Amino acid sequence: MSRQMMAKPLLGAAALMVGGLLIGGAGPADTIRLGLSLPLSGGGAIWGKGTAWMCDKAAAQINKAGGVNVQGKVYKVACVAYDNKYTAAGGASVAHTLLDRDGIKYVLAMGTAPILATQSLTERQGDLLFNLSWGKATKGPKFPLTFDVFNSPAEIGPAIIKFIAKTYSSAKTVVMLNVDDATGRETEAIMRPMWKKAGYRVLASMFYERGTTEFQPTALRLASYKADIIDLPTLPPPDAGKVLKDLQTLGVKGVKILDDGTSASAVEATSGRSALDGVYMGAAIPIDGPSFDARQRAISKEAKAAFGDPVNLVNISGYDAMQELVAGIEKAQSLNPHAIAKALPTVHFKSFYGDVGFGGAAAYGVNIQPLLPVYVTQVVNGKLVDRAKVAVSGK
Amino acid sequence: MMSATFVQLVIISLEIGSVYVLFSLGLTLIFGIMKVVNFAHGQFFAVSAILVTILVPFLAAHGLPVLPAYFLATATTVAVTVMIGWGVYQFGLVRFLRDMEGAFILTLGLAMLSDGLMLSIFGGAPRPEPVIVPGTVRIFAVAVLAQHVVVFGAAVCITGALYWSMTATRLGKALRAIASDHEAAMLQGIPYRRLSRDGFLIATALAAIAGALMAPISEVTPAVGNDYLMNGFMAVVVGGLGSVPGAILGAMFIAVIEAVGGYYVGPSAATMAIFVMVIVVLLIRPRGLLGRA
Amino acid sequence: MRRRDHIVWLAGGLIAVAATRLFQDAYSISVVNLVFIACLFAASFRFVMLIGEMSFASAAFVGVGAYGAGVATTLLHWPFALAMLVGPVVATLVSIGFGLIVLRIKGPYFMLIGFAFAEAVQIAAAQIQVIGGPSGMVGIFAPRILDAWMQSFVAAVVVTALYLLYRLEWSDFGRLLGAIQNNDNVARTVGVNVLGAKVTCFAVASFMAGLAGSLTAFVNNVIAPSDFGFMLANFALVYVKVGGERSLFGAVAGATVMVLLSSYSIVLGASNELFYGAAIVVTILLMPQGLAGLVEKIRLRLMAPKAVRREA
Repeated sequence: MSRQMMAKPLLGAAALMVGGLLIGGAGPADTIRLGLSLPLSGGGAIWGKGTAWMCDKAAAQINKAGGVNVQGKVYKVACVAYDNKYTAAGGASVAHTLLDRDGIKYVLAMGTAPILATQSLTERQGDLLFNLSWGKATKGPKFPLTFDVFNSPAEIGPAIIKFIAKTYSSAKTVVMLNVDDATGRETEAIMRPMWKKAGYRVLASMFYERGTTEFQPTALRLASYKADIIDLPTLPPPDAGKVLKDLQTLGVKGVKILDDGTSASAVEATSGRSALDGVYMGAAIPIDGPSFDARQRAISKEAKAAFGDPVNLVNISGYDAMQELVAGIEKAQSLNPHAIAKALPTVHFKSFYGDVGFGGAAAYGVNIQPLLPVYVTQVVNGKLVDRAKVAVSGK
Repeated sequence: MMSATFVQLVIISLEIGSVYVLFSLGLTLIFGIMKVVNFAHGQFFAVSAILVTILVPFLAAHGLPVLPAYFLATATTVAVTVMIGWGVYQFGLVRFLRDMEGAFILTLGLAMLSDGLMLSIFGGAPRPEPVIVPGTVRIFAVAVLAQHVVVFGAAVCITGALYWSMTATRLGKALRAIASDHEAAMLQGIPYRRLSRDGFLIATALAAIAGALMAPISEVTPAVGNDYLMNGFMAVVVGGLGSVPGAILGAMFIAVIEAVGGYYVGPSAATMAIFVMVIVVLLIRPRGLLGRA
Repeated sequence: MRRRDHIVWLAGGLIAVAATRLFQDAYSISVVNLVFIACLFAASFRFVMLIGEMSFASAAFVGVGAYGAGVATTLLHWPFALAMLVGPVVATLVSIGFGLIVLRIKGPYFMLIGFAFAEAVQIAAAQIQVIGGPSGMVGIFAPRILDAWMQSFVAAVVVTALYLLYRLEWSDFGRLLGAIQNNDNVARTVGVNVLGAKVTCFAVASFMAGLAGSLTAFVNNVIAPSDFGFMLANFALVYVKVGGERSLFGAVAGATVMVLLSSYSIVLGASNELFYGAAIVVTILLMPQGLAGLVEKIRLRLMAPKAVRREA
């Protein structure tokens, strides 16, 4: 073993220490920062970028309106977004960076796997977590510092099923297709019992792997059940587009639902206009409809120009999380996450959709869910048309 | 009653198979000549598909009918992609000929780099796809997207042309000589470096053509190439690395598993079956179905 | 290995473990943990490269190690030491079976089989609801006593494992692996059980990969199938090549540099992937022999005048 080899373990230790020097750094003391753990690379980047953009939008509005007043001291707000790569390991890295290095006390995390990793830190260290996942597993009394920010299948499902039951009274059977990841599995576990409870027969429920490029066999299998309703809750827009196009080619007639479908234009990009015609969505925002005003439409237009997608249920969460946080801080008159968590269920905040309060005890056991309206929309000739606006209650 | 479903599954297998063939040809060519695995093959595919979705509407807006616009767009796109490929070869890959590990890492880094670049330039939203050959046609009473028929036809023509040029032209013969024994080929005066560059550029052009052909039916996002890459790898390795007929056979093998498994058992199980079956085939034939020992 | 080598290892290892005490804030500790675990996985990956193969199946063995720790801790409530070891042992057993069948295959085919294996295992793990399906497992904690010592524990385990790998590499067995890499036919003709040696090498590397997985589970507390895709093995190869594959210390240096770089690049938000990809490209182009090659070059340049002088 040469001298050079001896030096190397020491070199490694030295490199570690230099690494230590790079570490550290906090924002200005009079700024309240909301950390964002989002997918900013890969297929989910469009969601992450939109959410970060909407958070910045809310921050700019709040700062312009004078910031946040806590016991006479005025704070500015800001968003800090890092890439969690949609994995647990990525989520853990981002959580450490946000919470431990940057000293941020409030985090919005997207995706079930990164949320699980983030939550194991936030709940233990006493930080506030805004939960942007479709599932229920990470919400409830076991997680006193975790709050919901948007409508997930627990809220969307009942609204859609009620609407379908009313509109298609002769429909009796359902087939489901979901993506085989945490989101798809959790959503399926919520939606399937809902259909059953509403008196429908679920003929089949299938899963496909992320990264699948060809959907003809799946479409053929879906078609073979001849179900009245084809439920596609968690398909990302490109996959939904391909499945719809293949179903159209096969001449499948049934009612098609994208429960978590957030954007007509994103699906249409792949499916083409005619295959998407008549499809229902549960998470798209009918921004041109009567429920929204010019100010909201202006933001949506700006968003579309900035990152390619109009406002939707997911990216609005960036806006709403910031508003929830600020409302909680102002009500609690404290920056302490525990104090804010105590105040949040009783606040009303300026959501993108308008003034809303909290509820959700019926679904989650605690009032952690902002009571946002669910919009059931149908795509007609490429445009989203309001079919039902359902107020979510359930204190 | 097997007939209707059977015909349907045969047609689906051919549809899927032709997609994988188009994607795999470049991969297998690169391996045959340079003895490296190109991890960035999907990025050439993606960049081409994206450029087509930009150029076709642009040209159409300037008064060109759809088909000429599509051909012009495809030609431009292939030219641009090949130029990128030339840069990648000249400033990078040329140093890693026959160096599997080095080339793998270089192309992995390039793939990540270009994913990030494409995301920041084009955004992550799926791009609206041009309709080139609209509608469906009926084959044995089975409805098929017309564009899929085009892709199938193109796959047949391109593999035919490639096979012919590999067996009948000087360049093809030289490339095959390199693939089977590059030292012997060099001793016979075949310029290895120049020819492996030509081979790489042909492979890049194939990826670009595949991207342009798939743009109207696949999704078009910066991430799309990565999704095709895994099945492309599997097709090439099952068929036998470096073999053009092998790539066709491998692509069909995977397509049949995906179609039959996906229909009878379900899509998730079919995906797993592909990986398991690939391992099984390689255990029986360690150099793939048509690979040479 | 000579006696002095053992002493150097002991001293270097103690310094490395002691150095972890310099880091007391939670963030630095998390990065230090990641660095050491990456070093171990890189060294494991490199160990298979000693027989001239790239094993992307290793990503799956890291996963097996992590899930072993997860199942033993959260479902079976086994003691910590057992939970640390069950994953690596299972990974070793699986790798022996897998290796006996698959190590007859070489080069790119072996590499791509590894890809298929890692993908298949990842999908399979996501189907099993007992271990959390695609959501994975949560609440995998080491005993409370270790709370303040986790980074030192990780360092001690990794340094010990690296020492064992180094010893093996410089033993007769290691030289045999080198012979197989050069030409396994020659090795076979002189009566060496080539497959046996390859499988042993693969099993050792898989144990170490599993150990890296156990540590990952206890450090992150949360694991999911998507953490153990083939990309994990891609990064191990990057660590080895960036550091220089000719020496174990190259793999260690590469893992250290690249993990620090990736931890740093998180702050770049959406540009992190671009930055990391560019870093890989630049490194491999500027330093084809890795950091170790660079060090070697500098050393030669510094020594050259001296050597000339001595001759004169």
